[in-house]
Amino acid sequence: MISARYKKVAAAVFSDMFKWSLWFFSILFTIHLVRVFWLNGSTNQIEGFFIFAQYSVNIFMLVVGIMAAYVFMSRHIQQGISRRDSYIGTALAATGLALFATLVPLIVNGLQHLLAETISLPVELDTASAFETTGGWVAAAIALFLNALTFFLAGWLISIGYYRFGWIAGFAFIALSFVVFGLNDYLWKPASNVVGWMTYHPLEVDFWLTALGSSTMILVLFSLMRLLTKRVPIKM
Amino acid sequence: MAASVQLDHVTLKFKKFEALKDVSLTLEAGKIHGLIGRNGAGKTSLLSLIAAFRVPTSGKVLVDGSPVFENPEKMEQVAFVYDKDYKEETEKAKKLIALASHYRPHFDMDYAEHLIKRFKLPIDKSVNKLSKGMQSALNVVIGLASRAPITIFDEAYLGMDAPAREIFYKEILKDQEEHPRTFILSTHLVSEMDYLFDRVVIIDQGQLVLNEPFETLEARGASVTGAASDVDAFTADMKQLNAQQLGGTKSVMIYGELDELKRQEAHTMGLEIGPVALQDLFIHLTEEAS
Repeated sequence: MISARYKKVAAAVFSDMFKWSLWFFSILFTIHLVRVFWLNGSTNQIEGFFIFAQYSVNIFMLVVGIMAAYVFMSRHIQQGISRRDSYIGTALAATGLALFATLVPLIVNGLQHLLAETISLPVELDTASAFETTGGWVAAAIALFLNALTFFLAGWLISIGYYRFGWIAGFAFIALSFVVFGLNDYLWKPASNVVGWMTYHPLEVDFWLTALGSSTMILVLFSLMRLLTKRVPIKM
Repeated sequence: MAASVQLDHVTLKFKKFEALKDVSLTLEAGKIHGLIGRNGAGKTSLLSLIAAFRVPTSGKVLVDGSPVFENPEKMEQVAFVYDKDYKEETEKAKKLIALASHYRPHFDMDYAEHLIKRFKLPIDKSVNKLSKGMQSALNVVIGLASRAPITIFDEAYLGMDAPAREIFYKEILKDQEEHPRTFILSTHLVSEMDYLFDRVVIIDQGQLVLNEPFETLEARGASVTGAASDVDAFTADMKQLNAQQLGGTKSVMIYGELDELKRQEAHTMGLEIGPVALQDLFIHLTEEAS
């Protein structure tokens, strides 16, 4: 029988993560407004919210991921939830959060785009070029979603590494997360060539191949997390 | 709702250290079990296996006949309350109570509110700002109100003052009457809590010493009270566990059953025979085992 308890987990975990993300986006949006109205550096044009938020969204997801094992997992097991249900629920919640963290910048950016046509802002907002270079807003949104999820998984990996294996081995998991970041950059930012140890083949192939590669890496990371949490002893 | 627990040749190793050595025991459904043992005896290790916090190195841990580890139906039936480190817990007490009610199928919020009032628990405070006693009260509220068929309290009273502990004990007995479940109470406060126990489980150095009904355990010894000289004469060839003297009156705890003849002899000597204190028995049995 398939247990439906993971739904309870997903609901509770998402609710917590959602609250954190509201804080995060409020702060981020305030900074963006300050940048638009006051710290615009007298340039003619600055980036719209979608581009502005990308980097921070990834870092936010990384931090939430780092908290996952310590905040959620032991709480679940203590409340009589199996590791499997805790894992599936947390994975679903994280996917939901990545989706939400993609939609917010997208919607705000869209609103800015409409707003820029009706009122005059101190600087011109570039709310479009992000989408032109990547092949439309759908592609840009998919890219942000996959990146956000990858950063969450990297954080989750670090957190389970520390939780399960302690400080020294934990560093190995940080190293592993750098490999993840490197591969992610290799996929999404071919020009930056971050992975020095890998023969560089510019991936100027089409977007969908990159998205496929990124999705594969996400699946591998999800599977790895399941393996690492499957029989994990709970700290007391 | 109550469930039974069975350990079948369970061994738990941490690297080379054996925390539990081939332990087999059954905990009956619907009974209050007192789990006692010296520091490092393996009590918490044993409980963490029942709560599926970890998997045994070998052997089986069963709840109502099915392995508990990663078994959602069985794990849900076990609530493990222990002295949790709340230094980093910034959530409010009421959030943790709400979480328990979200996950625990038998959680009773009315009962939780009753307990919150009994313990005067400030639920709007962050958990890490609560006093140690209040953190323990929070754990107890969650553990009792969850009404899990197997409820484990591992030294759940730490930091509680005597009146709060008294509330805790009374609430266990009261709720056990109305909603019987299997309790496991691990404790060092043996003399304070022994009246709660239906059964007593003693472990020492990772091994089971005994698992018996409280009454049969009590019959393993006796207390003999009366005039000091008479008591000394009567107990001279008996195994003495403990002796206390106040003026000319002496009370000696002895180990070993007293037959009817001996009881009559005591009666004619004007000596009073009472039950042996579990605390003394425990000290004796764990010393003997070492």
